[in-house]
Amino acid sequence: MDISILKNIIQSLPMVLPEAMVAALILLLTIACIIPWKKPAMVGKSLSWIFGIGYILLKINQWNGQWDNGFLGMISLDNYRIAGQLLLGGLYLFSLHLSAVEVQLKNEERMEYWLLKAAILLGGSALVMSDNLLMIYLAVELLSFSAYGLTAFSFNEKGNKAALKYLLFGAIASALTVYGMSILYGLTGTLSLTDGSFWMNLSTAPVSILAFAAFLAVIGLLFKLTAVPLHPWVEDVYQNAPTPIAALFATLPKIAAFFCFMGIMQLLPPLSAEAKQAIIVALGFIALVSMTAGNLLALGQKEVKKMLAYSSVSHAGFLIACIIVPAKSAWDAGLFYAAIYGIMNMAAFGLVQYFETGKKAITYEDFNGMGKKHALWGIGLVIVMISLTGLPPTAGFNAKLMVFLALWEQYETTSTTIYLLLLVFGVLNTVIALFYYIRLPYHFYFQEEGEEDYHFYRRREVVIENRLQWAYRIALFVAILPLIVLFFAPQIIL
Amino acid sequence: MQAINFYSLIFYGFSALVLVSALNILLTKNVLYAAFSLLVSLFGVAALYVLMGADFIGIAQIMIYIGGILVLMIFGVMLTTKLKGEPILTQNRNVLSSLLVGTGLSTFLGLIFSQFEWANRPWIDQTALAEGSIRKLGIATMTDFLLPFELIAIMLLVALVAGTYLAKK
Amino acid sequence: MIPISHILILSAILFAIGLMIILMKKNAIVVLMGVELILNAANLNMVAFSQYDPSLKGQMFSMFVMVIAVSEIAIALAIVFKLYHHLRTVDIDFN
Repeated sequence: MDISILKNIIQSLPMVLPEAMVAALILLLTIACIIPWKKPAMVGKSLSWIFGIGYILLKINQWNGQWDNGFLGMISLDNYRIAGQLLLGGLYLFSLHLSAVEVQLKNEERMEYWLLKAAILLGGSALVMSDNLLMIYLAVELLSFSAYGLTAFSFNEKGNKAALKYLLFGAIASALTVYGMSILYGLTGTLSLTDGSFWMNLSTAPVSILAFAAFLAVIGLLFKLTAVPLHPWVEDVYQNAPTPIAALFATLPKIAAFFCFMGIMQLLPPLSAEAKQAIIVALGFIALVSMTAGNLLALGQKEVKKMLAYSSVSHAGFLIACIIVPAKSAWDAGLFYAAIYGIMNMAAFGLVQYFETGKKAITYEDFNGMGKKHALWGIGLVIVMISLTGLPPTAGFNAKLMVFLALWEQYETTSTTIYLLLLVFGVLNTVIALFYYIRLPYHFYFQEEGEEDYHFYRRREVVIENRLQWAYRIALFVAILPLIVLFFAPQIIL
Repeated sequence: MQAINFYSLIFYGFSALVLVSALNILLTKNVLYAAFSLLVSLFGVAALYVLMGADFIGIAQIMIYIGGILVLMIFGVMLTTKLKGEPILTQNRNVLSSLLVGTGLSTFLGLIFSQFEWANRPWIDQTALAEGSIRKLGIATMTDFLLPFELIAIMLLVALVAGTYLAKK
Repeated sequence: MIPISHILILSAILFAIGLMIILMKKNAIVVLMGVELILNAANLNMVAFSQYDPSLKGQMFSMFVMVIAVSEIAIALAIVFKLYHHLRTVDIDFN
């Protein structure tokens, strides 16, 4: 036993201090589960908020720190990853707020609900830091387990069905991932991605085995990103999970997987040029298919949440496009895109949740003629939808533009066809996306409410209490303001 | 020489056991038979672990898989069927395509794995044959693998809470 | 000593059988059995390789995989059990 190992562990403890905070939250909530509180919602909510803010503060404290590899090559930390984790923390807090104003399912009174949410944050945060096959696998599984549980928290038949579908997909994806990782381990003799011998050994491996193993090993991450071969669960899960949970699923795991992927791609250079090329082409192809298929599937949807689900598949395509560009500009573009994507999807789900709670509006038709009564909400809706499409004057435009610019620069320097293809398909997809995003404001303002609809919906309408109205307004303001501000001042993030 | 032959005989015997019982899961329609075939298959895998010098993993396999997962599964089968004396059956779907995928994949993998000289990988240390793994595993858990160990502790807790809460509700 | 490639072929066949079970069976619990078979195939690989690894990373990995398999099954059976309450069946139809 070498004493330096223990020294390394002790030195790397501050790296995981924020994560330890979240772990402490999980433990506290476990204890809180068994105490019969008078106001369980208050306890769960306030504990989550306190520790969530603590997480963010500790993460800010880590900024610009001199972090080396921690825990003997298990994790590593740099400013880019810390930025990603701060983003995750922000999304977590926002989704806490959405959960607190979700009144139909009474989930806020269930301590387990808050616990599983905290577990998602922990899993995401661990995934961003991971530099080891085992850590990546464990973090993905932690994210998945809490996600399976939370999907079933709508406690109806459809929610359970969606949870089972999600779980089977996830279990198969994780099994394939482990199989791929086991072969990678056999090829290299190490699990650590930062270990130089990992990439050295990979570059001498036969192509067929390497391609097979590498493809299987990234399936777990692609599953979390909802890239195309692994997307069929997305529709049911987003539609049937409680809406604040769907908002969390649409953003946090994907962004975590994205940052993990970015970290892996940063380590690629020791590989041979052909292998790198093959990886870029394969991922580029997945990106291409994801953005196109996601868009086309979103076009055919009648329910708004399903539309958002498939649109998130399409956005995953753009995120992967950032991953495969090995240039500084793509890093900035990726960070910006991930941040904007998270903010605008949270805003979109927040809006959907408001209309779902108050007006029972689920399909496009349900939104007919609401523009007269809810003009202010409509403005928010228009801004969010324009931002999701990627048009000015919203930050969604800047995000897409930066991705396109990065792709174009990379094409000019390397003249690899896949970048040009991604660029062309990205622009085309933005045009397609316009149709289904703008449909919602169109129904909202320009469609007349049918006569029979009118009475039907008036009967279903639920009056949202004043307190909640304000909670929603604040949430939307917080989410929509950055979309406008960042359009004019994108340098805030970069 | 005699001992080595005996060793490989046992090894290939258990391998055959694993494969035959795994195939039986595929072929049988009775869910309980499938569960018991899985038991035999997992037991065979545990024996293979022991033969490969991973005694601790072998015992963990028996305790976790056979003692935990299989009992859970059999309970799951029993709780989700109306027991009326008739066998619990499962239907097959897309038989032909999945058989094609399976046989194609296994021949492909068999070919690429058998053609490659694994023993020549630079990292492989023929002299490092592991023996008596428990002590090493214990130290590794507390040093190299400390962080995953802590993470998986939290994960077990989360899985426990999620599982019990969902089943209770 | 058994050559590594023999163990790899064994695990590859196990992997293929697991995949076939997943694709073929309708009962959710049997599908989970297929997942277990794939996990076992991966563990076999890990243990086979870690014979030559003095730091036993493969064996550690397979231990973690086992724990994850247990928790996965626990959550899965809870969900399957609830679904049975609603639908009176545990057959999956992905439509």
